[in-house]
Amino acid sequence: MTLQGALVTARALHFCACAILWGGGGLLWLLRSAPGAGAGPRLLRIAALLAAFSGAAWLAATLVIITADYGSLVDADAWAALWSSSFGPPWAIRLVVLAGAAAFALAGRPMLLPLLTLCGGALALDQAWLGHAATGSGANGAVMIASDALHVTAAYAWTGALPVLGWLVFRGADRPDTKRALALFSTIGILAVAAILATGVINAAFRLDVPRQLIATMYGQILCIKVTLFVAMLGLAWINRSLAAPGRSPGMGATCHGLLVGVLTETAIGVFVLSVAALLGTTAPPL
Amino acid sequence: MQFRPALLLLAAAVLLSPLPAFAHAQLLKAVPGVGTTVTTAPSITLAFSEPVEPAFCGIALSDAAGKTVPLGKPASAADKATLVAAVKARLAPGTYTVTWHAVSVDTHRTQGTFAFTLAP
Ligand SMILES: [Cu+2]
Repeated sequence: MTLQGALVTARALHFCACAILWGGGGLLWLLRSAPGAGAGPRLLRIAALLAAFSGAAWLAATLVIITADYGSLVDADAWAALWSSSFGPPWAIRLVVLAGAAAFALAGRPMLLPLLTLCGGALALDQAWLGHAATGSGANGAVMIASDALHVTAAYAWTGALPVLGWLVFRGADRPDTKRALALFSTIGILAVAAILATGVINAAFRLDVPRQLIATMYGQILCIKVTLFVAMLGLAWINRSLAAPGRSPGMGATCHGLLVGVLTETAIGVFVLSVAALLGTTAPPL
Repeated sequence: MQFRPALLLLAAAVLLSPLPAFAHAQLLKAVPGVGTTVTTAPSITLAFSEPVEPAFCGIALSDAAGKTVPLGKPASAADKATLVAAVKARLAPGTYTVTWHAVSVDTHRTQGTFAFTLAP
């Protein structure tokens, strides 16, 4: 695998893991009655450990790429230069949060769920300083950071809640906590989609000068793929929403099965979108 | 859904407004200029599209025979997007090649090469 490929893979895994911490943890936290055992909480613990490992891999790949030298991984001067660069502090904060999340996950106590969720939220916000949004200055720079931070936070809230929702539906679509989760998720989803749309347009406006660049440049083409997948997720969410509507009885055979398939498919596309985002963030926007 | 036209208007306004585009650090201007002929070259100056991290940037200069010309450590100017490296040797007339790499504050590395000619 090329270094660039390793970087994008590490970022894709990292985005998925952070999304589960923030979105999945948040959904379980909001449900309150969340049990301490079962696949849902276990998924969160795995996500915390995956986030820590993939985050370390992302940082290592970054250092090797910017120094063009594998040796810099064991070079104190290279690390010192990294910490004192503009992206040093956000990376240091990220590592501390990741170490905290991994420690909470290993402690394995259900009451640590809010802490895992808050770690996920912090990771979503911190990400704005580790990419193209960090290149602005003054008022423009502040808008770029705020827009990107909100974009990632909303995207993680939606995509990360999906696997946990899938687990709840699988456990029993008629259970009261599943019904509550479906209602909560539909609110989270609407807020997230609105935020993703608004901030996505703002982000794109900062990266692209003219709409033609959407088809004429590599950056624009990858962005188009991301938007297409986002629209597919929206369509699927619409179908799932009608399947889970209170009027229907999700416990009844076919509908319940349909809902589970729908949620899992939406999850899969979510993984796709985050992977494309991982690639897009390392692609040079047109000048 | 009354807010939809308002959202579309906002989107259109944002997309059509002339915002500065931000990218990886791309070379905007060099002194001596790319492909130019100059009579003096006391330093190499590279202006980028983004602020850069000097610790991770490098500039190398070589003459037509491929021999390396010593340069000072590149430092960034006040705008943080310009790198300057002093030429530490007396240059004979001829063609020179500048090879550079830069890391922007977005953590991305870019690199490039260009030539200029020093006239007698
Ligand atoms: Cu970049």
